[in-house]
Formats: sequence, C-alpha cells, structure tokens
Amino acid sequence: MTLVERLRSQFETYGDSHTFTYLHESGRTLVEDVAAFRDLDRGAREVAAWLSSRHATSQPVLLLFEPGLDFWRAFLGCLYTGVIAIPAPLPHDQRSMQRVARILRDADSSLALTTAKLRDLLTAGIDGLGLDRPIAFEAIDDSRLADPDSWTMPHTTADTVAFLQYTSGSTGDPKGVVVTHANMLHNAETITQALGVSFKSVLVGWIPHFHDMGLIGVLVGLVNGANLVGMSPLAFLKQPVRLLRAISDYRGTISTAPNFAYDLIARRVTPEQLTGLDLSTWEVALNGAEPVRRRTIERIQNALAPAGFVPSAMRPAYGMAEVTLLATFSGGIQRYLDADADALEHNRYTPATGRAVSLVSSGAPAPGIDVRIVDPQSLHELPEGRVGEIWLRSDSVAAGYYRRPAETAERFNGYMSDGTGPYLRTGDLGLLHDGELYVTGRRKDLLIVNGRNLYPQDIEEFVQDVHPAVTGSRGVAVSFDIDDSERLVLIQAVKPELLGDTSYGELAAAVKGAVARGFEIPAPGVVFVNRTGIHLTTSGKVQRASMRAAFLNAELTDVVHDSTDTVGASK
Amino acid sequence: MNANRRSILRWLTAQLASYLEVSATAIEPTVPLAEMGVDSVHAVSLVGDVEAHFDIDVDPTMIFDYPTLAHIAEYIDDAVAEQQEAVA
Repeated sequence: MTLVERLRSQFETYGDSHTFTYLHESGRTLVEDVAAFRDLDRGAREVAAWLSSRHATSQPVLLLFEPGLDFWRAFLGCLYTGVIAIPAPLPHDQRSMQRVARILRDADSSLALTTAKLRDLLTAGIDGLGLDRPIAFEAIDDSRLADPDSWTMPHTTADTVAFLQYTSGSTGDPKGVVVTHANMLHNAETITQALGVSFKSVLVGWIPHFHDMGLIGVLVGLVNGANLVGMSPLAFLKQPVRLLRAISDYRGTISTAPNFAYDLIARRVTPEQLTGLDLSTWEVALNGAEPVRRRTIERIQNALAPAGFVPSAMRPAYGMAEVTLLATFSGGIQRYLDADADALEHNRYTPATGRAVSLVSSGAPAPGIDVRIVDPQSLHELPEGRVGEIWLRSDSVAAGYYRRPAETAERFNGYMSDGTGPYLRTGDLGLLHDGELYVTGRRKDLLIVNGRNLYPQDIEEFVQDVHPAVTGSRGVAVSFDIDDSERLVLIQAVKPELLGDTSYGELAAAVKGAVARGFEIPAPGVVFVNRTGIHLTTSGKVQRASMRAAFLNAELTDVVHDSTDTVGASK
Repeated sequence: MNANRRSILRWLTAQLASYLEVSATAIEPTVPLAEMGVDSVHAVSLVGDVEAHFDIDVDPTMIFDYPTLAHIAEYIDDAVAEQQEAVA
C-alpha cells in the first residue's frame, strides 16, 4: 500500500468517528476547530485536484501557514498530488524572510501556498527582496479551488519525494533533507511499533509543523487512524498547563517534545493547576530533539505524579530529519550511566571512580534501524563501551540533501573499513551499552537551544552589522554546557579606532541584545579581543575548537574586554 | 513610581526569578531582560502569566517593546487602567 492509499483507507474507515482537533487561542482561552477525517480528506483532495491542474508536479511547493488545520489540508494535498511539499516557518521579519527566499532558491520553487489572511503580507515581503525569479503566493481558503471529486490517485513509487525538511544547514546555506514516500512509510512503521500507536491512540501536541517532530508526529497519527489534538507553540509556551489539560480532557495517550518543554512544565505548572487533572492515560511522553537531562526526567516524574502521571511514560529518544525522525527509543525502564569523566574524555566508558558524567540512555535501536558506533578516523566499528560516531542504516534513512550531491555523499554514504554500508553518518558521538544508545556529544559546531539547531557562522555573520567597530573583524561563537543548559560565548575582534563614543561595555550590551533578539536565545557572554587574539588556520579560517579550549582554560590572549559574567548566572 | 506600579513590579520580579531559578534580589528591574539571560521561551512565559494574572491581552512582542521589568510594569499599569475605563 502506498502512503496515500494508507492515509485514505484510514480516512475512509474513521471518516466520521475520528477527528483532528485544533485548539486556537481566543483571548485567554482556547477554542476548538474540529475536522472529522472525512473533511480533512475532502480538503486535501480539493487542494490536490487544483494543484495537479495548474502546477508542474516536478516542482516543490512551499507551505507558509500559521499553526492549524489549513496547513494540514495543504500538506496532505501535496502528498495526494505527488508534488514535493516544503513546510517552512512563517517569516516574521526581514531575516526570516531572507531564509524563506534562500529555501525557495535552493529548492528551485516558484509556488507557495498560504491563506488569504497572509497572502498580501507575504507577497509584499518577498517582493522587497528582489528575487530573480517570481514567486506566486496562492491562498487555499478564499474560494473553492476545485471539485474534490475530480481528484485522481497520483502515480507514486517508493522513490517519489514526499517533502523536504529544511532543518539542516545554516540560514545562509539551508539544506533540504529529501524524505521519500517509502522513507515516510518505513519510519511511520518504526514509530508505530516502538510507541505502540494505533487507531485507539490520542496524540496531543504543540510542536511546529515545520519541525520534523511536529510534522512526522501528526503523520504517524494519521496513517494509524488515531485521534489528534493540536495547539500552537505560542499557546503552549504561554501556559504549559494547557498541554496537560488537553491530555486530561481528550484522554491523550502520546505527546512528544524536546527536553526543555518538560523542564518548562515542571517549573511553571503549579500544584493548584494540576488539581482535577488526570494524566493516567498518558502512555508515552517522548523526549527528543535535544540532549535529554536526567534532572528533567526526575523533575517531571515528581511534579506530575499527583495527577496520575506514570513515571515509565517518560521516554527519551534519539533521531533526526536525516533518518525521517526516529532512530532509538527508550523501552520504559530508564537507564543512566555514571561514567568516569577522564575515561570518557579518552572515548571510553568505565564506571565513575572520581569525577563523574551522568549519561542518559536514549533507548535501544527502534525496529528496522541498524545503529553502529564507528571510529570516525579509522572507520572501524567499535565495540560496546567505546565512544565513536553514531552511524545509522535503514529504509528510514532519507534520500539525501536536495540537489546537493557532494554533501549527500559525505553524510549519507558512510562505508566502514571492511566495506559494509552505506550508512548515514550522523556526526553525533555516542556509545552503546547493554544494547542501548548513550549520546555523548554532537556534530562539530552545531548549537542546540530549546530544540532548535543553530549554526555558529550565522551568529558570527549577524554580529558584523551591530557596530562599525566589529564590522569586518573576525569572531567565533562557541557553546558550553553549564548547569544543564547550553550557554553561548562570542569572542569577537574589535577595531578600537572605530569605537567612537561607544565604550566596550556599551558595545557588549549592544551585541548581547542584538543576538538575543535576532536568534531568540539568552544573551551570550561576550569577550572582545584585538585582531591577533583570534586563532586562524593557515588558510585564514577561524578555529572555533581552539578558541573554545582557550576560553575554557583561561588562555585567551589580547583580551580588551570580558563580559561573560552573566554566562550561567541564571543558575 | 506609584504604589500600583511598585506592586506590579514586585510580582514581575517574582515571576522572572522563578523562571530563571534565582532569588528575587538577583533581578534588576532596570537591566534589559535580554542581558539577564531571558530567552524567547521565558519571554513568552512572562506574556502568558501577565495575561492570566492581570486579565489583559498582551502582544508576544511586549518584551522587545518594553525591554526592562520597570517598562513592563508601566505598560501593564496603563493597560489595566485603560481596560477599567473601557468597562466603566
């Protein structure tokens, strides 16, 4: 059965009985927008009938929507047409509009679907960028697009591309992970088996639809005929108790989120708010997309116990867009390792005797996923207890990066020294112990803040525009794990002659404010140095790793100003 | 600053201290929030709690338009007064 056939058979079986309910903010309360599966299917056929009559199916279609059911009509419509969908974040300023423009260019797309409410704003925003190729924004909701009954099942094969997931690559250089219909079906089956998803499940979520966890989470629900309840990220972040209330009201069984969201729930939901809530139906609280913290797991188990939350529901997982979504999943008995810090620095696990590092198990490989630990230099497979690069092999592994053969070969064509492969090279570091995966580090340079991947080069480039004294000077953004949260430090060269009336303190405040606002992260620590204080390679590239080590060991040179005192000050 | 604003500010300080898990005395009402390690998740948290506590609608960009707690206290005080006038 193809992906579209699978979806349609569920929509037919549960056409009237099952629903996708979206909870929209209205003032300070949430109101329901309910679509029965029959309506969802009809909306998708309408979009698909219209799309196939006007659009060349070889070109990807960008989807720019507010959180809600309109996105899902459009997305399913793309699947029903066999065209490539690109779910993207809705741009809200010049910078995010630039990102949309770069995605359009990278994907060679000239059509974006949206709603009547947003169309004019988006058209004006993109016109201001002066693209060399015109973009048509079409609203799917201002009139009937086509007769849903004129839709015919598209011809799709296993290799037909379902969507591009633009979570990889920096803002300046976005890369689209190519997820085929076969990848989607395979990982949906993997997740279904691992989490025990069925038509009886009730999935409750708030993760954005342009995030792999939000997108695939809903799709897995739909291919199983499960009931779905959604709300916007903003609605959840404003009042985290809303998620718990929805789980209690709709008898939710599965909800997924990055670690920070569980931390937020534990911190912000009060015992009074929990009164009267019943969380005993919650079977799976999947925790993934960023490092899983032991402290968070224990806090949430304690905080939610009075509402009947089952401690074993908290399930750490590991995955990424490059494997569609899920690779490993915790089986319900949470394991931790107290690893010896010195041994770990030498890529080896031994039980702690002195300084300890607490490692959280991300569970065993999910059904249909082959997980190996490989020495990234020698390419030999490593035995249990040794730290190496995490390699994955599965039909869930995506087809590569869209129109990027070189980057695809580098990441998706890993062969071990004995010739076995191809494997996806995740770039993450980890070890296997008793058959379970413990992630110990991540791809060089990548920063993860609140579940979002950030690239240091984006921040370094952004800082250039803050003040003439830093424009054209080199700098590095590096991150540190302080008290269970990721903290950023910017080490930036300054031209003192261009400071004018600005003091170093004022410049540091300006840089902090601009970065915090531009990237929606806590203000970084800032160190200003003279030009010679930045380490460069012989070819003139900045050496982030070497700068990071120098900062950690207090060995930075040519320092003219240091305002890193706020780093970690929040703890 | 009038008594209203002082009490709003005390409440705001206590909220922020709880998000950041520091004591209220560590919060400076006149230092921009971004410089105190407040990220977008904290900012939206504050918006949500202000809405619920004062029963007013707050735009999520509040934290950018009113960068310090002292500014936010003034904003809330005005918004609450405006709302009471509208009701009266």
